[in-house]
Amino acid sequence: MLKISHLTKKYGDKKAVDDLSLEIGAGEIYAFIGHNGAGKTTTIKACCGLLNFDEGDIWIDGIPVKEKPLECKQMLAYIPDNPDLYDFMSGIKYLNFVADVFGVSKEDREKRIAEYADTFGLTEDLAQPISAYSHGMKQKLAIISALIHTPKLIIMDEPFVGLDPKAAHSLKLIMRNICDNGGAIFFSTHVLEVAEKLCDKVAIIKEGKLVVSGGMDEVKGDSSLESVFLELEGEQDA
Amino acid sequence: MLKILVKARLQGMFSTMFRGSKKKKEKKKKNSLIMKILIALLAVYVIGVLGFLFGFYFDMMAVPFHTFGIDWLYFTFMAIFAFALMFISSVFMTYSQLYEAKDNELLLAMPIPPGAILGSRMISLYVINLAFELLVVVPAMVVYGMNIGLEVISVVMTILISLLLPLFSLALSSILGGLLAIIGSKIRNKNIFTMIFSCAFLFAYFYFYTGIMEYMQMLVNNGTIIAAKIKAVALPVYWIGNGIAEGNLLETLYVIAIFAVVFGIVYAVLSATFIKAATTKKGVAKRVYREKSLVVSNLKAALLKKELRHFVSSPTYMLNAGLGVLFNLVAIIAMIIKRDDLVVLISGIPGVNKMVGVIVAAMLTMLATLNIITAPSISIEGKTLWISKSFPIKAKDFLLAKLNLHVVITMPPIVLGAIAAICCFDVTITDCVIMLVLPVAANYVCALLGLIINLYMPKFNWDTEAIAIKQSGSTVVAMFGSFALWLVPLLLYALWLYKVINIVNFVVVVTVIMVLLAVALYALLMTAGSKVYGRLQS
Repeated sequence: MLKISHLTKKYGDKKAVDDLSLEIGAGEIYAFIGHNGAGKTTTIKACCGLLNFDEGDIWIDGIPVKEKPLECKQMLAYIPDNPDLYDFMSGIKYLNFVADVFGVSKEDREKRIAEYADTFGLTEDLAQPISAYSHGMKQKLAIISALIHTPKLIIMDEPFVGLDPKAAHSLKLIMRNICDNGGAIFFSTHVLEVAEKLCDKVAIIKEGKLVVSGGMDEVKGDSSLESVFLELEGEQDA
Repeated sequence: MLKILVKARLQGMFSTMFRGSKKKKEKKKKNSLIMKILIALLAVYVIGVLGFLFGFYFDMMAVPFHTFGIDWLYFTFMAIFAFALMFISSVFMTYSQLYEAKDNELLLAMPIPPGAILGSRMISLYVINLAFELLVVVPAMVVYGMNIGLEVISVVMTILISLLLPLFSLALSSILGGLLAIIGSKIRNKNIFTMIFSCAFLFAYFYFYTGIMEYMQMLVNNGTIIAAKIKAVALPVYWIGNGIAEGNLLETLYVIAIFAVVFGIVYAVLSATFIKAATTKKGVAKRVYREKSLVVSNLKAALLKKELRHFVSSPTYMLNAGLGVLFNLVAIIAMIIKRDDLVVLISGIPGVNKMVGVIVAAMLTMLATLNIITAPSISIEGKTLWISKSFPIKAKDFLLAKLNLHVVITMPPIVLGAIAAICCFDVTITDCVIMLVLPVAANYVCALLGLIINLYMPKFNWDTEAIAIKQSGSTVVAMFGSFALWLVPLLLYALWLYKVINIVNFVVVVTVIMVLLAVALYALLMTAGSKVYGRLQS
């Protein structure tokens, strides 16, 4: 579903991402972990066509992001680490706008908005302007907007930040359900317990380079993901 | 502590114009220098115009008041004018700085006394007020010195009063700001309230401004009567003028004591209630969503609707970028109501009746160039730029939505203005064409120019949208560029081409050039502009 091949992104002379390659298949939940400034957000933005990159290629379901960004964007949904949304719209107007952009039918959008707003406990607040939303409510709205057009691939940057426990649980169930139906999810997180329990695969990035990647069991072995992560960080530091 | 807070606040207030992105530092440095020069030119122009205007008004008063022996009234008016300018210019700033500052909670969480936070805001506002005050006091003193002559003691008293008068203005603007904050928190649609209040303010200002010469003449003619009344009912106001005119230290001390006491009371009250005012969550009852049928739109319509929502949600955006629409509507109403007077006026001036088309076309073009809706339209995307960049939206569609917003808002009043003029006056076919086509083309050029400039000069790192709308480089450059659309042809004709070509034919040529310019800029936007959009990062 998502293939990253030898991705390199530089900011001036500094390589934010250095020759990174990854492959995420349909039905997989893939965690992307690393310390702050490791290159996670840069990689994610490059995958979504938000950021031009210097070397390498990225394909979404076989379509190259560089050559056909619009086709790729139609298939994916992106949730950033800080959901800055249109403050001048109400929640429902924003969701309807997103549905218009992705060409979702009237029936489908009404059904999905009702379903997901109910799941995340946001229905009553949909008439409120987004400017009145808390961080968590904005995060929930961003998640609902990402689900409206039933994307094949969802790319998320720290999706659990700001969510209450119930909403976080609902999101995990939805993520699993999407992947069980042939979709794929690629997300960054600092919550290693969530990654360990939820994900099929994991990749660890440090200073722009992929340190390790593969199946969760394969990467962590008999220890915890946290131990592996800290060990890798320690080895590199030593 | 107070010094650090004041420094940070003043830096924040002045740096917003010049702060750029960290990327492409060298290029940004060059752009920043150009911006600084442009803004400095604008500042010099504004200061020069205001200084000249006030100097002119005071020049009307100086000799007559001196002749009648009421020099004190001259200085009283100087203080009143200075107070009015300070109050009008800073009341909204006081409101936002005191009651809507985003860092209130952050600062209150630090070990900083609330009085110091309030004090730092007050000192910053005091500096701004002082700057406005100087725009009046300096020309007034220069004019008096040149016409009558100044004594050192009068200058000293002026300095004393000038240092304390901003405190009085600040105290009253803080009270009005507090009232605005209370009213704003009680009403559901704050934007409509702000729009109505701002428009009323604007119309009152223009109403006063158009009659200012009459008022000045009235002041000069009735100087002695006004002086007697002021002396009888408002002794402190008399003390202000007399303290300066006669160099009366005691009266000056009375006045500055009054200013200090009023400010002290307001400061004490605000200081005691600052935490409550800064931390109380304002707002109206929650609007509960009731499920209803959703309206489906195609991509282009959805994008335009989004732009329209953004525009109408922001009084700052509407008032600053769409001012021409307001004036255009006033012009249309005036043309309909005052039709007979205008026809008599125009037919009475030899030669002018043949130039109606040119005059209306020029007027509508000037009004059109006041609209700079597209100039901040990309900048105000700010941190939400990721939405349109991550969605399957073509760069062309994104840009066209912004262009169409400008057209939808500004074009109907321009076309209606031209139609109203065609109905009002006896005009030829050529007149009709230039009255319709020139303003429409100029308006479209303004929209394209603003959008292209903003593509190359975006400002995404703002704290409040007003910074992107009012203080960004893109807006300043677009404003100058738009003015050039009528100023350059006007100067060319007035200085040189009047010898070569008849005015109507000249305007026809300008119209053709404007249409060609619109076509060229559109092509540029759709090609190079789309590529630049692809590289934008917020």
